[in-house]
Amino acid sequence: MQEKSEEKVLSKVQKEEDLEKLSTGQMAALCSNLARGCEKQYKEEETALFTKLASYFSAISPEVKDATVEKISEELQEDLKAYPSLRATADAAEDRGAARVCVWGEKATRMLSSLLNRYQEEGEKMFENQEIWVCSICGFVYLGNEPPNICPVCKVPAFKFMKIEGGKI
Amino acid sequence: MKACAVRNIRLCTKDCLCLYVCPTGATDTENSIIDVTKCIGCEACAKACPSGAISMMPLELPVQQVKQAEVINSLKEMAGRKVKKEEQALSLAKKEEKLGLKRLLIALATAERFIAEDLLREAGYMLPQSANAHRFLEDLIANPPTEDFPKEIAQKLLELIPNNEEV
Repeated sequence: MQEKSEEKVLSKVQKEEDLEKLSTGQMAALCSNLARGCEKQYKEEETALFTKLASYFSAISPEVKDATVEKISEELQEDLKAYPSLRATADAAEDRGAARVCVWGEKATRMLSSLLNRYQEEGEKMFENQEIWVCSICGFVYLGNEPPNICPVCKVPAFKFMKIEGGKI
Repeated sequence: MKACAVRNIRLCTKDCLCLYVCPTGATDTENSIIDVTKCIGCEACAKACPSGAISMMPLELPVQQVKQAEVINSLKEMAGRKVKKEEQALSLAKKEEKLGLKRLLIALATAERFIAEDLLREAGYMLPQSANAHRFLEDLIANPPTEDFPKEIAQKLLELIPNNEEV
């Protein structure tokens, strides 16, 4: 019995041919993630090289022509509907890391969705005397003069928040 | 496990006990960064520091957790949704003249990228030293996405970063 269940797990473990191909956008994020992985290990040269690869992939990603605020808003709603099934997949595999990423991602997505909805109602006045902050660990977005002391989603301290400056992209 | 001492400058209170105990002078530098070429990994500085500002970074890391194909594909699918919105928000932000909305779109793009990075980290790309990361770089060299793909960068990374799953 024990043997059989182990066999089942092994057959479900990652095999090259089972994996979906990544888009250039996903490859950009994969490279910037690996750059972070190097940065945490104090590997400066490797960090810079992975960052260059990430920029390469962003540069070759096809230009989006039909984007609108409404469309992004709808797609955020779809993400929120998709998170529970992702979570179920993670739980079925007893993958706590994947479950954790669902918890953070869903909360950060909910905030993005609510900010965009608020903008559609209030317009520019919602930013009066407000800075926009993004948690560099989980992507939680916060409006205020100062960043929160602790990220409400992933609990990192304020210095992990980055301020979004006006005109720069 | 072989390790190297690293100082977190944000926590360092300049009590300088690391200088007193270091047998090789690795901690005594003008830029506050412990000299990796001198550090012998003895941990004396980390144990002596009253502010807990020095930690030991292992030089070799254990193999990352193995993930199931179904989990990987579901995480990648969500990461795909996230980068799609990153791209949409950036293209809108470029031409947006209302400053508030422009900033919100940049924040949204930035956040979606961070969320996508986190999803991919859990999809088998936690460690740059992993076999997955190596396979990714090798595939890029074998099948470059465009003619001007900078192969030399991928090659250099393969040289610099050991594959910790290689038997």
